[in-house]
Amino acid sequence: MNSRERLLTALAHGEPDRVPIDLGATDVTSIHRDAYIELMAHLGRDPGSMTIDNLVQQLPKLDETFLQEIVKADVRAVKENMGSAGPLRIEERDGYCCTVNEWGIGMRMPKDGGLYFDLVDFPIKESTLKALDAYTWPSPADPSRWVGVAERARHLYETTPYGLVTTWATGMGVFQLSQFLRGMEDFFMDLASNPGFATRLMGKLGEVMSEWYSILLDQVGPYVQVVRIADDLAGQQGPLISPVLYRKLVKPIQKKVIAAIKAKANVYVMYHSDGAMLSFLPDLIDIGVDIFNPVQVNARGMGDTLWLKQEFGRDLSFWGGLCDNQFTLPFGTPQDVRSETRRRLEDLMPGGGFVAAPIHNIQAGVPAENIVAMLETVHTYGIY
Amino acid sequence: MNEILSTLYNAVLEGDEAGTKQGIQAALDAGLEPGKILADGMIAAMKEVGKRFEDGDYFVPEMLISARAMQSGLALLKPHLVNSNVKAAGKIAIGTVKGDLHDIGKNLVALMLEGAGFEIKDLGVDVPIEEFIRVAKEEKPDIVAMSALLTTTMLMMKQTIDAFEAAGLRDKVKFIIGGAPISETYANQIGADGFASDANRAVNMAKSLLSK
Repeated sequence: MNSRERLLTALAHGEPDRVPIDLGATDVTSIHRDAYIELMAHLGRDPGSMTIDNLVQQLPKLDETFLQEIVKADVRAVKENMGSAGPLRIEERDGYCCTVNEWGIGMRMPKDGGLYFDLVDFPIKESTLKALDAYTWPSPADPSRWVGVAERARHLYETTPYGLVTTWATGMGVFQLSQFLRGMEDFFMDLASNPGFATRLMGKLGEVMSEWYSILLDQVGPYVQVVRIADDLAGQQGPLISPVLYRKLVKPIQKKVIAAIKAKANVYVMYHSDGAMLSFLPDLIDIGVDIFNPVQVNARGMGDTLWLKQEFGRDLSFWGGLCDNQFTLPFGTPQDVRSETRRRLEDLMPGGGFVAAPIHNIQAGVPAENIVAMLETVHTYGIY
Repeated sequence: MNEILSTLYNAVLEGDEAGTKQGIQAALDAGLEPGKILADGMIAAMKEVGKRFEDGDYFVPEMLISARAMQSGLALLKPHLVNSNVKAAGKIAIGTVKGDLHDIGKNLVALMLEGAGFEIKDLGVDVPIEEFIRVAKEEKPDIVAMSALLTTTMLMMKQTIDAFEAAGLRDKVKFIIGGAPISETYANQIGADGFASDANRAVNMAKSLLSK
């Protein structure tokens, strides 16, 4: 059984030979550059000339032999190119590295010791239709995004054994990207006090996303198995917005986007949301989501993974869930990491429908010993 | 409750910014005490907002528009409060720690604290230890509130508290901390005075610390 067969068996809710493993195939299951450098040093491996694949989250491109030999990763990413705007120009200003992306979103990272780029300026300043009309949307049809993309995907499909996952330019869904275009607080206030505008913004984004996915899947659809959307709906204590409001304003638009994806390609749709997502899981099933990522086990209601599997495991595959990422993985002992990882495997593996991956990206400061303990536990106990 | 105040109360509760401003003007025109307008018309409404948030009837969007209404109302009411010598419930300096630029949670906490009648000195994001210390010396807040989203930056909370200790300022302020990876255990471990997992609990924590 090769990696792709392993992944497909698991996602069809069957038990493969061993649990499929992902590290680095998505922007929410990877490892921060600092933790990666420390891990590679610990393993006595050369991280090489590390390139940063995801600027905002500072995720490096992971070394292929590391993925094969140490992680035994079963999944790889297929990505589109940057648009004709080209690579981001980073300027140093007042102790920060600053840049503006093609959406007009301003970001900055502290120059010394900075770990991420954070969003600090948002292009749609007013909740008016006029401001919405005046906004220039990046064009999915921009040809430079697509040069060689189909060939790369086909090459990966034909010459490697791996499962392939893709996402569109930002990876985000309509709810989250709306926050990035308006600013989180302003968009949340739009939802409560100007829902007409909020719906128009998300609706327009839904159209842009559907068109984008349509072009992307024209290129890579025959080769990829999984399409990913990240659209956080919950904080650690509970939903960010009322589930009633979600069902009225957000869910119908998400549903359309997922339908557009599934109309284009025979793929599984993975939905990423951190946090206490319990109230939304039935909605995700309802809009056609196949895979839920990451199962943030320390968020309210998400800790009983055995129950989650029993309750939702027939309809959803889980991708993530390996070891609590805020307490155990960064601050526990390797033995703590082993016991928790083993417990999550026991809860989530039976019957398939599980891809082992860290809960979100492994953060800076996570001891290399703990990462190794997590991986070793998956290798030892992830056997069916 | 007085009808004018109850209209104001409802405007804040509903997050109706224009209605809040009108309500305050109407209350002032009717000659009501600024302190009473603040306490019964506004702080009481924000307390109900907090309760609804805790009960799961309100979520972040509803809380934000109420806080926005409260804030605009306060701007209008402030000169009158100063004239009639109404004191804030306490002074709180708040910021995200050095290296952490994530301020959504911090902003929400600051808004709710302000809504509860505290005077807020918002230091923004990525606040160096020296800045917390300078503000503690110059502004003499009762509470310093620190926020961190990351497991990496949360360690800066301990360093900040230690620096207050070293500067002989530790007993001058109470520390409350919060943020995604923060727990009560961690708060105890680093010698903070309180921990809150959301904005409403932060208000309760601040009140209980200052009533001691």
